[in-house]
This record gives sequence, C-alpha cells and structure tokens, in this order.
Amino acid sequence: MMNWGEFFNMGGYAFHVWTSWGLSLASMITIVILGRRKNAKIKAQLANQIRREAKINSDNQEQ
Amino acid sequence: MNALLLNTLTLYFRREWQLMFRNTGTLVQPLVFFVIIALLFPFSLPVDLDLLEKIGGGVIWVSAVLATLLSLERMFHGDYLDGTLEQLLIHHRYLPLAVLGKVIAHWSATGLLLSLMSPFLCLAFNVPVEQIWVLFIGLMLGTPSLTLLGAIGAALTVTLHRGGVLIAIIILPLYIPVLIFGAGMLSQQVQGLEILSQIYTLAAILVLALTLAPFAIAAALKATIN
Amino acid sequence: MNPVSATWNFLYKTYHRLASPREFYTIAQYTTPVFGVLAFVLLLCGAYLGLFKAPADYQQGDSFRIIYVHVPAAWLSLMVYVTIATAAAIGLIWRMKMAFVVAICSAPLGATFTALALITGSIWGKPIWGTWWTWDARLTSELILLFLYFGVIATYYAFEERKTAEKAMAMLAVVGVVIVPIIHYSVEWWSSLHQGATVFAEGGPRMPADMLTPLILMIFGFMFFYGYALFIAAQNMVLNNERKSKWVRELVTVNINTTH
Repeated sequence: MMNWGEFFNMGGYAFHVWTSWGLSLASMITIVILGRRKNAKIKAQLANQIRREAKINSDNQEQ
Repeated sequence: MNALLLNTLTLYFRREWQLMFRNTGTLVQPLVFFVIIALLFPFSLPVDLDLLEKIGGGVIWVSAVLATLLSLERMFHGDYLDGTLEQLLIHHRYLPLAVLGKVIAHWSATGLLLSLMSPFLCLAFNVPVEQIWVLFIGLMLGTPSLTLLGAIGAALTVTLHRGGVLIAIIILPLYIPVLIFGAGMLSQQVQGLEILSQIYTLAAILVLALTLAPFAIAAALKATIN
Repeated sequence: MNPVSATWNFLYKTYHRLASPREFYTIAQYTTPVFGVLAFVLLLCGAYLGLFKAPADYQQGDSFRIIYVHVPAAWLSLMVYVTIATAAAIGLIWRMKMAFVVAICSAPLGATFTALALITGSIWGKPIWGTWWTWDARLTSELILLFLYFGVIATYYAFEERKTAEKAMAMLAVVGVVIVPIIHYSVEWWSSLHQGATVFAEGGPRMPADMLTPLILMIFGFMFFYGYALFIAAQNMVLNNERKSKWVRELVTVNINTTH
C-alpha cells in the first residue's frame, strides 16, 4: 500500500508539481467545455431564427 | 524589359518622394518622435553618465523601431483612401516592384533620416565616437529591413480604420532579430569583440527582406483590397 | 488495384471530402469522439505512469514530474504553429475554405499550449534555477511565439468581412513561419552573449525508459487532445459560417424535432 501523504507532498515540490498539472488539466477542460457550450449556443440561435422565420411565413400566408 | 522594370521602380519612387516632400510637416514627425522617445529615457533613470553610455545604443535602437512603426500606418493609407492603390492593383503587372519603389522612398524619409540623426543623439547619451560609427552602420543596414517588414503589416491593415495597434502587435515580434543583431553589435564592440559577423547577418536579413518582402506586400494588398 | 494506388485514391478522396464544409462536418461527427477517447486514455496512462511509476530524478527529485506537462505543451506550441502556417498556405494557394477554418481554430489552442509551456516552465524554474524567469533562449523564443499567436488571432478578428480576415490571417501566418527560425537563432545567439553560464546542461544522461514512456504517452495524448479540440472548434466555426446554407438549417431542424 502506498503512502498518499508522501505522494501528495511530491518530495517537497507539491506546489510546483500540482500547480503545473492542475493548470494543464484546467485549461484542457475549459477548452472542451467552452467548445461544447458554443456549439449548443449556435444551434439554439439558429433554431430560434428558423422558428421565427416559419412563424412570419405562416402569418403572411394567413393574411 | 529590364528598362521597363527599372522604370516602374523609379516611377513609384519618384511619385512617393514628391508627395512626401510636398507635405514636410508629416515628413519630420517620425524624426521628432524618434528624438523625443530617446530623450525620455534619461529622465526615467538615475542621473548617471556611465549608465547612459551603456544603454545609449539600445535606447536609440528601440526609439528607431518605434519611430518606424509610427510612420507605417501612413504608408499605404493615403493611397488607399484616394483610390490610387486600387488603380495600381487593377492594372499593374509589376506590383511588387511598384511597391518596392514606394517602400524605398518611405525608408529614405524615415529610416535614412533617423540613421543620419543618430550620431547627434549619441552625444546626448555620452556614447564614445568609435561606437557612434557602429551604431550608424547598424541603423543604415537595419532600418531598411524594418521598413520592408513593417510594410507587410501596413499592407495587411490598410483597410482598417484604426490599424495602428494591430500593426504594432503583428510587426513588433518580427522586428526582434534586427533589434538583437543591431543592438548586439554595440555590446560586442564594447567588449572589444569582432562585429563583422553581425554586419553580415544584418546584411543577410536585408537581402532576404528585399527579395521576399515586396512579394508578400503585394500579396497582402491583393488579399485585403477587393 | 494495387495497394499503393488504392491508398492514394483513398487519401485523395478524403482530402476532397474534407475540403467541403458539409462533408467535413459529417466526418468530424465520427472522428471527434475517437480523438477524444484516444486523448483521454493516453493522458490517463501517461499521468498514471508519470506520477506514480516513474522514479524521482536523482538531481531534481519529484519536481521533474513537471516535464510531463511542460514538454508536451512546448512541443505542441511549435507543432500547432507549423500546422497553422501549412493550412494557411494551402488555403491561399488552393483557395480551400476548410484550411482557413483549421488555421484560425488552431490559433487559440496553440496560444494556450504556448502559455502553458511558459507558465509550467517558470514554475519548474523556480525550484531548479532559483528564479521564475530567466532570459534563456528557449524561454524567450517561446514568449515571442506567444506574441505571434496573438498577432494571428488579432488579425483575424480585426476584419469585418470573413474572407478578407481569413486571407490576412493566412498571409501573416505564412510570413511568420519564414521568420520564426531567424527569430529562434537570433535569440539563441543573443542569450549566449548575455548569459555567462548555461543554466541547464545539454546532452546530460539519457532518460531511462520508465521516465521516457510516460513522456511519449503524454506527448501523444496532447496531440490527440489538440485534434479533439480542433474538431470541436472547427465544427462550431463551420456551423457559424454556413448558417445560411440548407444543410445546416436541416441539421438544426432535425435537432429541434428530436428534442421535442
């Protein structure tokens, strides 16, 4: 069984090692989340636009 | 054929030259800017002649880079506004040469004058006479490359209303080699080392810029102006 | 049909399919998860081996484990710039729409990797060199590379018309890649002039296998992650650019119908 306290201490370099790894992980996750969110946003915007256009069209036909 | 090529070059050189000297007010602007920037440095430092002597060359180089940068925005903008540039793009077969003529004229009004001015600035920085020569040669070899590289940025941003900051962001990183070798010559000279290799490198960069940049400038103009 | 010409035909067709935004979008829908899973698995294995199994360095102790994020980030920072310049050149020469999309979508990713390499490098430098920043050739070149990325991104977003923006950005990327080697060598020469002793020695003892394997895994993990993120960003940009086209509208309407 390994010693977790010793592992997290990283031989006294805990701050340096964990900040570097943490920053890398955080930026990767951020990139992916931002990308996915943007995709949803673009699709929602477009869908909205299409719905609005459909409504305008049907309104025009009713007149 | 060759005469035609040369004609294109001189034609645009002469045209630019005439236009510039018609308006001497804008002509001296980069020069005044150069002197003021360089003279601001002593005010921000402790009063110490030895320190000034040490940093003088570097300060003058940075001022020259900034003054060149300031003059870039105007390089193509006037011609773009009055439609001359579009005419040039439509009918000219030797666009890179025409552009080169323009750039050389532009350099002779900025880089050349800056270089000629630098010895006087050196006096203000207490730079010894043997280094004044080194600085002068460096500037004479370096500033044409600065103008040529900068013209690429100026051509890319010519259609933008406020292209000045963007030119700085694009172009300043590309100026680093010229700055390193130009200012490096001085520190080599101070240490009593040979400076020929730096002169050759600056000359090589100039030759490279002189042959490739006109094509890049022409392509950039074609890309941004429809 | 012999295998060589079959492969060539396949590549040729794929290239042409990728050139069309619609085909690209369709293909990307399948490749994106593959890249994502590969990146995840490789990074996980690399992290496990690098953090748990690799022995501590005999000089630097456990601080050397920063290498497993620092070197891949630095490697990617260069690779992405070359990718951008290649894509930009392809876009300019063959007027390929998708090449511009790849170039501009790569730029923020490359800038992120460059910033990561710089930050992790300076965090690593603090315990080993005793300073956050030193004007070392590699650090300085990396910093200039970051500025070049900023220039490419700023150029693209400065123009209102997309086609002009794409061309201007591509021109700058191509010019940049010509100058990058000159910048690198000039900085190297300069730092050797200014810095008496080199801070870390080149050509030290070669890395043992149990230290090297995680590094290679991490490098490939970062590469697949770049591909994954690039596919996501490029898909978004294609959707946005082609918002007026029929296929995008159909795609979105199908989405509405399925969600309701």
